[in-house]
Amino acid sequence: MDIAIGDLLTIEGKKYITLEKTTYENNEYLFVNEVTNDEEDVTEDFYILKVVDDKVRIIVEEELKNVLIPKFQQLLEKDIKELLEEE
Amino acid sequence: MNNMEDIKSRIDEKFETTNGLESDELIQLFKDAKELENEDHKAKLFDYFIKKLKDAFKEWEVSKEGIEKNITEIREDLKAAGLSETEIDDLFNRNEFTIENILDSEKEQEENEEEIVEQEENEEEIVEQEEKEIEKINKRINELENGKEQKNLEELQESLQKLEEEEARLNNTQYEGYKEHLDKKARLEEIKKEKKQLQEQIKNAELKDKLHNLEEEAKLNSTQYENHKEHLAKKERLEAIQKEKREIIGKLKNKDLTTKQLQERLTKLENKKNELHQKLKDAPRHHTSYSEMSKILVEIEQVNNEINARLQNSKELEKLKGISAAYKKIQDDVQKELKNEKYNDYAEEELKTEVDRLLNEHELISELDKYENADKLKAELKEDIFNNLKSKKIDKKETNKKLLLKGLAAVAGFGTGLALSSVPGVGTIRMGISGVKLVSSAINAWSKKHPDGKIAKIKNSANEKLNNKFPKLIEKVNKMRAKLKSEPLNWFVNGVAAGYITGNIIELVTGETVLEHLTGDSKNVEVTNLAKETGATDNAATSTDNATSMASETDAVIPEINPAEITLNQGEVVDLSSITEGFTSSTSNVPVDVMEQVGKEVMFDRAVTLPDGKVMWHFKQLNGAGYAWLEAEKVQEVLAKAAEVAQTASKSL
Repeated sequence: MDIAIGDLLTIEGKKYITLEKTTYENNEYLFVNEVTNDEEDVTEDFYILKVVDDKVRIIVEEELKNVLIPKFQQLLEKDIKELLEEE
Repeated sequence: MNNMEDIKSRIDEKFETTNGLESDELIQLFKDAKELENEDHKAKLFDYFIKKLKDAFKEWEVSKEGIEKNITEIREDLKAAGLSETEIDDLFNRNEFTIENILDSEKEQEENEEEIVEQEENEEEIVEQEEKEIEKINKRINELENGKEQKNLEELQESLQKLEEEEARLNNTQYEGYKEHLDKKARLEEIKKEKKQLQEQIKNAELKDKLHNLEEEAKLNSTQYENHKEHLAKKERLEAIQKEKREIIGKLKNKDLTTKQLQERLTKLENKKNELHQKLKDAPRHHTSYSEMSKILVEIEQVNNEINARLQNSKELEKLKGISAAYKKIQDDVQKELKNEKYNDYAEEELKTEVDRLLNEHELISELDKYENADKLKAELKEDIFNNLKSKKIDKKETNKKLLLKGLAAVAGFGTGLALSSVPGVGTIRMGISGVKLVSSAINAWSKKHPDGKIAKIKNSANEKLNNKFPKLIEKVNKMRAKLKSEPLNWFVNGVAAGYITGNIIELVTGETVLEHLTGDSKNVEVTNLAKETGATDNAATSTDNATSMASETDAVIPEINPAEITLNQGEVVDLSSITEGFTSSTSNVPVDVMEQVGKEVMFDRAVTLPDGKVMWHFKQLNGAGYAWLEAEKVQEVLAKAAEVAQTASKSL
């Protein structure tokens, strides 16, 4: 499944907004922010999801998270900076 | 001098005016015709008049009585003009000018007209039928082609609009020539047909759209229902598991079972026993009666039983601790074992089998067997691991820019630099510097308490300070705010601004406290803090239930509670009402008053270690809203102190 930044995903009754995506070792990963059920606001919980076809898996492995978090952090900082500089 | 053409014109003129056939004029006209020298012309003129008269009767749809009356009058006029009866009869006969003929002629014309109308109607019906057939065929073709060739609703409506515009334009066209008039008429007919077809197609397309929407809605409802059902089932199961876990933790944390308290109690009982034994020894010397001695023996027995019960509890405590530790260790180990991506290729059943295998092979699995409901606990552990590892299906995907910007705002708003960090053991990732919602709550609390506009003061002050601190950023934010009016983007901008305020707001509003300071008698409230037990000693855990061995047990060292060893699990509820100050962010060094009454029951959320080594703990309110960041050291001290209070309470038993 092709997932883009800004896609709101519904997974097992919970909703997540895709803030960032990246590829690592030929696998696609998403950085998502959990959304309130009424889709009005975001929560303070973020997750890294691995995408396999139309399924995702929440990354719980510390080692993998430690690799991916800095990558996402860098991408997010870049996106936010660009958005702030956007005319 | 009259000539034939002049008289003919006068006859035409006479019939065209339709003012009635005035006798005087007719008589003069007949006279003039009669006076013509050319007999042929004369006859033609009279015949021409009769022909015109016959046509007029038909055209004017004169009744039988009217025709009779007119014929009589015409005969009179002809006579007056000098024509004889014979000439008149001859004239009428040769032109077949009789009432019957005229009426028959009218009837024939009516019949012909009716026939024409009928023929036209039949033709229309045939055309209509053909059109219907064509429509049916077209519809069928469209259905067969699954709508591929069918224009969508929007296109159809656009085509219809174009046709209507053309129709209106044609109808408004004036001064066209005859040919243009015919072309226009033909085109309008075409438009009429095309419009009819389009309207039918639009109707079909609308119905198709509606059907499609209904199908989608039904599908969605069904999915939502299934998801909801599954969610409820899962929620129910998770709640049951959580309840079970809470019970275990509760047993582990039960203040009556803390080792130190147990040791205190044992000492007390031991003293009591020794006292009783001494009484027993002194009984002969004091001439104690048999009944009194018997009473002392019973009392010794009771104390022994109580000691044994306490020791049993101690064993239970150790067992539960072992189970809890084993549960966590097995979960970590199995998840770690399966992290090597290989399970990605597994189907759910295969993954379950693999989790099962690893569980059963784990060296600590036998620890779980010590639990009274071991099978259930193992099943929960398996489910926990499986849920953490399994892939979850994406049920729905849609674009939502508003939430994207809110999410980015939340990330951007967490501080001057992003500091993502993971929560060990679970998938959650949090910000090292947090508190957007805390600030938001603080502002709300402030505005409720001070509805007189002081909130504006905070904002103004914040903006002023922010301008000094991050001039370039604020310039950009303000620039964006001015240029981009869309609500979602403003959310982003506000989120970023709020984020930069976070952690600095108290400093920004110097001299003002944002969070409401509740001064209730929190220091006198019952302390229900739960401190971490330091664990029973081996001696205590392995003590026998033999009363005679109790003397050696009293030598067991009672470990002091070390605050530094106190840890909390995520979601654990504690009473921190005695802590009156906290921080709005982990990095803030400006304390703020916290809501102590709310602090009576707050949940541990997460810990952050700052670069200087200081550990900050974040707590949430029970409703999930943020509470405050607190120094871990301070919390540990409070919890240790609470445990001391609990001990004092138990001593009084």
